[in-house]
Amino acid sequence: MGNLLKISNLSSSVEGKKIISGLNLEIASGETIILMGPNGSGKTSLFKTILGVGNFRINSGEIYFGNKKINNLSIDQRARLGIALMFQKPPKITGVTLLSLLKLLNSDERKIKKQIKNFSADKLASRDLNSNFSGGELKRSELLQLSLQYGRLYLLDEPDSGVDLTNIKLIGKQINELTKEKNSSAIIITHTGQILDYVKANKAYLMVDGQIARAGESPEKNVN
Amino acid sequence: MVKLQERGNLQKKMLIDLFSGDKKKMRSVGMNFNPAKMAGSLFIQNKDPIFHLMSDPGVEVLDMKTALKKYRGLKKYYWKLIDPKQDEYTGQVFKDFHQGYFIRAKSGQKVIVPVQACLFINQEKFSQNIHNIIIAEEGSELNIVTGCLTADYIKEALHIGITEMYVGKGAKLTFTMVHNWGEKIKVRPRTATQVEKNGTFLSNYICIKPVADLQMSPGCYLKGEGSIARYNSLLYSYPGSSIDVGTKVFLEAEKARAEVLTKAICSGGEITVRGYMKGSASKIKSHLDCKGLITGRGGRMRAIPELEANMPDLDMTHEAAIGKISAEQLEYLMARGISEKESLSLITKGFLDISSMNLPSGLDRELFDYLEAL
Repeated sequence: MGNLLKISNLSSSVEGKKIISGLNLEIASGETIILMGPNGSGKTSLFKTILGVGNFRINSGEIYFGNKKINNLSIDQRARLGIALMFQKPPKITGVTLLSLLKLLNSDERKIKKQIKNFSADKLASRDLNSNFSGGELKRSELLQLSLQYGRLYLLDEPDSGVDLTNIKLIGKQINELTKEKNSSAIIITHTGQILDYVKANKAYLMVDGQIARAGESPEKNVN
Repeated sequence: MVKLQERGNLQKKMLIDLFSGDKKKMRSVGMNFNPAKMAGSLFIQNKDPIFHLMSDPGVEVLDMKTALKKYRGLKKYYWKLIDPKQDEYTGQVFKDFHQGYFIRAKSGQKVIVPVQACLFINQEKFSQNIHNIIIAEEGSELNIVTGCLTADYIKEALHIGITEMYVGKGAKLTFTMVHNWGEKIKVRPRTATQVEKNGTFLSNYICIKPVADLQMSPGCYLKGEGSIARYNSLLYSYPGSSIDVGTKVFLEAEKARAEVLTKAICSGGEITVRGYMKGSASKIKSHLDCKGLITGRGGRMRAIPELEANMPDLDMTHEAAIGKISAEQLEYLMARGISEKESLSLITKGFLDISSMNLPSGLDRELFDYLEAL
């Protein structure tokens, strides 16, 4: 298995404040890894830096996706290569329904219908994007979008936070579906580790102060 | 039945023959080329009524000159809400009146299907001086879609439209006006509405295509107890445009209610959104709201809401906000692989959101196409 994502010696900052410092990370195709760490350790920032979202500035280091250096690509270009981010706090967009966005992500209407059903999102689809969505609805909406977007690497930011038991089961199942398809990879940020009851991960990493502090083959160990 | 069908086809053919070159633009302002599907139609080209059809017996549609003859000068309604001396443009229509439409929903008749009225200019440097009267008689319901436009090849023109509207007791009038002018066209609508007891006036105004100079400040007089006025406007200014749009509502009767919502986008030029509400009766409730979005540099937007009241037991509020497209929204859509340009357009269209306007059925589809072309 070749590396899908290779990050070497990456440092990034926001408004002069260093967030990621000298981080190295490699993920192979088909691999699912868990990313844990205290609040403010840079987990979400790492995702945003990989995709180019937010005011993150890469100060040094390189991000390779496939065999392509993506440091200077725009967000949409990176997304079209197959980097798909599940936002932790997606913004609300009035006048744009979830369904209208899904139709832009995928031209296969039958697949859209099927996925809406799989995510029990019939009512949700006709609502304005992220507008008054509950915690569970936000997660379902994000994953539903990801399931219809072209993805090779899924960056899942706390898919299990603020989600009740029924939703977490569904979310876990859908994450497995996502990664099963096309031998895709995933990085999952989790605080509680709840999602690990449903999703099998190959490795776990602990992030501290903008760096990968520890790596382990068995995620459960790190969770504990 | 067959004859009716044939007649319908003939009318359709006639309209298409008349406006073959301008069909697309006319559709963009909500005009239906199948007039049999509307409650009535009147198309005025420059100063001439060139297509007229009355389909629903509950509503009367006439050109204004014919109506003035038929109803002996329409004394109770003609120049009663608008003072011909109020400004030079209004005075110009008073002195040199060309044409207009007269639309009346008969007492108790609920005409849900819209009446369409089109004011069209296809003569260079023409000044179109229009005077319209709309009456929704007691207990009636009337839907009007009025489309105002110039032919694409017209470079310079002036449109002045006087419209006086009367909403009777318990009547409901929905007035949807869509403008699609040109980059050098000057436009001066002068509109006033009077609403009687328990009457409802709903106004939708859309002007999202380039115009050189647009200034208007429609007035609404809520005269009857429990009368309601609601205005929804969508405006878009481009580099070189000057738009100054205000709404004035006078809440003069107990329990009158008014809501004025304006959404404006400035990609250039100057745009001013004014609102004025005066409450002079008990238990009235009103809200004035302006949301502005600046999408380009070099433009200027002003929101000027004003409230005036002289009674202790009323509730009047206003809210105005101007902002730019949020980077967060833009990045969110781009993270789904959508280009920056397409993402911007999605957010802008979403901001204008015509689905919240309660437009007459059928019209929104045409308008969606119109928005698509932004």
